[in-house]
Amino acid sequence: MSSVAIESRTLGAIAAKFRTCPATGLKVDLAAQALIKANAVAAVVFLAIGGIFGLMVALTRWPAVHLLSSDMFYLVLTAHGLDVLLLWIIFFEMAVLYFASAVILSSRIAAPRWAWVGFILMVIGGLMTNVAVLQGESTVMFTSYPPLKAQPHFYLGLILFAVGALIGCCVFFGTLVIAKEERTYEGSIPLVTFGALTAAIIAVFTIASGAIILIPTFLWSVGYISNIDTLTYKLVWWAMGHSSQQINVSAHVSIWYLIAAVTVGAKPLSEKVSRTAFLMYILFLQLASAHHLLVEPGLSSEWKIVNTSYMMYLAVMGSMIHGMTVPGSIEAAQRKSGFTRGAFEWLRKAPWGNPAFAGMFLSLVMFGFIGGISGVVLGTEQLNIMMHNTLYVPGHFHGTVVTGTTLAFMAVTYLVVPLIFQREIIWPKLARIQPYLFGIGAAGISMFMMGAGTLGVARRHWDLAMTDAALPYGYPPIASLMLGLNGLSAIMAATGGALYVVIVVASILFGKKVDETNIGTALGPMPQRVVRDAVTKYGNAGSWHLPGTYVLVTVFFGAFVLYYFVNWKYLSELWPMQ
Amino acid sequence: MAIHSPESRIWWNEPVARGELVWVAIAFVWGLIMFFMMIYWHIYGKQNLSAVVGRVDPEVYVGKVEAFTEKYKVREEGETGIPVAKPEAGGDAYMVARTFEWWPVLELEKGKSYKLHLSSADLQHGFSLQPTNINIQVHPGLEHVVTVTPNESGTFGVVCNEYCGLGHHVMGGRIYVVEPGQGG
Amino acid sequence: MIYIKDSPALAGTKSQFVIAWEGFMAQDPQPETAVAPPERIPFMQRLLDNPFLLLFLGVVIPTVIYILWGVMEITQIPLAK
Ligand SMILES: [Cu+2]
Repeated sequence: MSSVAIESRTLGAIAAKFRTCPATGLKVDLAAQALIKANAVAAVVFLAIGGIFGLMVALTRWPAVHLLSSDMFYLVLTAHGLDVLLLWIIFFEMAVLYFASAVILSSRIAAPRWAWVGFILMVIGGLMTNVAVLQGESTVMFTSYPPLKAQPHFYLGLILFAVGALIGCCVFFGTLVIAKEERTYEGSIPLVTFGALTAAIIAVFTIASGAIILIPTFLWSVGYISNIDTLTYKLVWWAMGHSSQQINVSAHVSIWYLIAAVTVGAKPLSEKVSRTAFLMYILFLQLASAHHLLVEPGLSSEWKIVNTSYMMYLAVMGSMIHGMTVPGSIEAAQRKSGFTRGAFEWLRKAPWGNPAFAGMFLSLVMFGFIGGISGVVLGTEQLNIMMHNTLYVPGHFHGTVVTGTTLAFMAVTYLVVPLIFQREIIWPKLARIQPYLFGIGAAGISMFMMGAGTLGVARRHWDLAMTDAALPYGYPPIASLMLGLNGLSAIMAATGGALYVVIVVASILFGKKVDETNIGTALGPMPQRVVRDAVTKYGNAGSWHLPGTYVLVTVFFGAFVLYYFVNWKYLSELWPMQ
Repeated sequence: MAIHSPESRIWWNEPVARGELVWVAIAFVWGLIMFFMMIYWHIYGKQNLSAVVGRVDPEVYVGKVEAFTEKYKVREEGETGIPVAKPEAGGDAYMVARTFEWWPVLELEKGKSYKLHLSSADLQHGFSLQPTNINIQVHPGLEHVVTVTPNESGTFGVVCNEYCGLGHHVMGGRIYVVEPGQGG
Repeated sequence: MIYIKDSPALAGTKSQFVIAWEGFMAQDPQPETAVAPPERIPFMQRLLDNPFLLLFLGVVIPTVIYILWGVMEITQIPLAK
């Protein structure tokens, strides 16, 4: 960045240095920028590690390959869950929080030193838990249900990581306060920041729950506490384990809006509706932690129904709203740009060659169709009896966390590299295919695992054939086929994931510097928005006409209703129980 | 633009387009349908998980299962000689989960109801009845009583689907369902 | 509100991206419907504009409905017969 663009502001006793972003005109606090870079890099490192572990898991499940020994399989599976479900996601979310607060609000970041303390705690904690797992004495799975016991530093690492992330959330809230006080924006915060706020609120609940349960568990592992109640542990642990995935949902929905805004100039159809949808997340999304406790003895059906339904599915309503307003806002923007023919010219002529857009749209569609629908079915109290702890569960959450969150985070990286790292994406042609390779592979992983789960195949299970069991059960042969296809999909996704890591790292290290002359091209292909006379016709309430989006949501709704009732039909054929 | 503050200061009062409102209404109503579907199934459906549960010392529970098995044992099977118990129709049946087995094997009659007691002697396990695909979590210290009515005869596998240590994948069990009056 | 054209760095150097954005941003000037005094901001908007109130709700609701209710049920599990 040229030196003229650096601006110093002294505010009170604190001096902050800013540069002006050539694409957006936003003022970027250099301290925030450094924090975003550090967190994003840590995230990508853990994605690479956890992704390799994931591939090894899938190749072991594939009966014809059966790569790892059983001990190694369970160890690697523990590490896979930890590295991608927790470390990759939360490091990236810290970057998102700093971006959505300091950068989007053109504010200085609150207490950057504390943010660094948080970052360092997260790194130390993440490494400590990884070491504990790799040492081989903490093969307890990501969930570490007692009385299964890990080494004390397994829990201690998680606690340090959580404390670090909590500091990050505090910095986010502090930045909101500063931006408001110093009037860096007028009126309400932008929608993307509001989505990040939603993520941060859920994160506070998540991390607090984690601390409440992991601290006593740590004390139990070193011998200060004699007993941990298995059901209470599970209840509180899932307030962390499941809510952490709700941070993801809020963050990636926010990123959908962000990418739609930057790549096609989309504007929320209605601030009121989109924010109300986020409000439903804030109030009710965390209740869905009960999804993991639906076949547990000792909790009443009243508790199960109220919680698993996110209070009468109000949070699902939130997701369905986003599922319409994001494509709807894209359609409106594209129509404004002149792509008005038929129901779908706007979609056909969308910037599919831009990896940020392509990744975002794939994430949107697959999160809804694969992760979303299966999540609601899985989270229905009685239907869960047919699915609990089968491979359907990881199938479902690979649909949300991988095709939804991870793909969205990958997509936004193609904007973060030019905007924050100020480097051009190296090898744009490879970057073009990356979201498709990864997205389709991940969709395969998700769907084939769900298929195997429907056949009853257990999750976290090394041997489909149960060769050494005294009383083995033989799954139908099609289960092997499903797991083979899962392995092939995992190879495809891993290729896409590796491509992502290589492109990002190479771009940061060797990419061409970005300034005001090349920022336009650095952000990837955008639709030519030249048709001015369409501008006034679309996009406000009076002339709102989005036939393509109507078709999309109608197809979605039809698939949802059909799949939901098909599962009730299956349930009615099970052994009667009461 | 989603990365800028809303254009008008008071955006809450801006009108919402009809199409968007219709979708919100559909989503809301669909949520209510799914919510009441669970309640409906509790009243009219036949597959609901039992709420009968009590705290029990794992050793006491193992004692109960052993007494049950002794009383109702009809034969032994497999290399390990695991006992097969055939409880009275309509009566109690016991099974204990422990690393790494489901014990004992049960023989039930089709169309008869049994109070199936499930608990663990050590860690958490997952009762996964295949191929019918009924999955219930099993905790040490909690005795869960599920009333089941097998509706098909045959040999059913019990797989453990909660990770319980390095031998998790060898943890199997079995339930035979025979036509009424047969077996034994 | 920050318009892209306000950015000083852009004076004279306009990429295609920026031109497109300007075109978009320049559309329909909002008719200034009588600048409302702050106290007339609707309740729901004030709620949504208050991050700490939202934080409070977002932590208290799941804590009560999910955790406290759940823990209460767990403590009330009777002894097995
Ligand atoms: Cu087990």
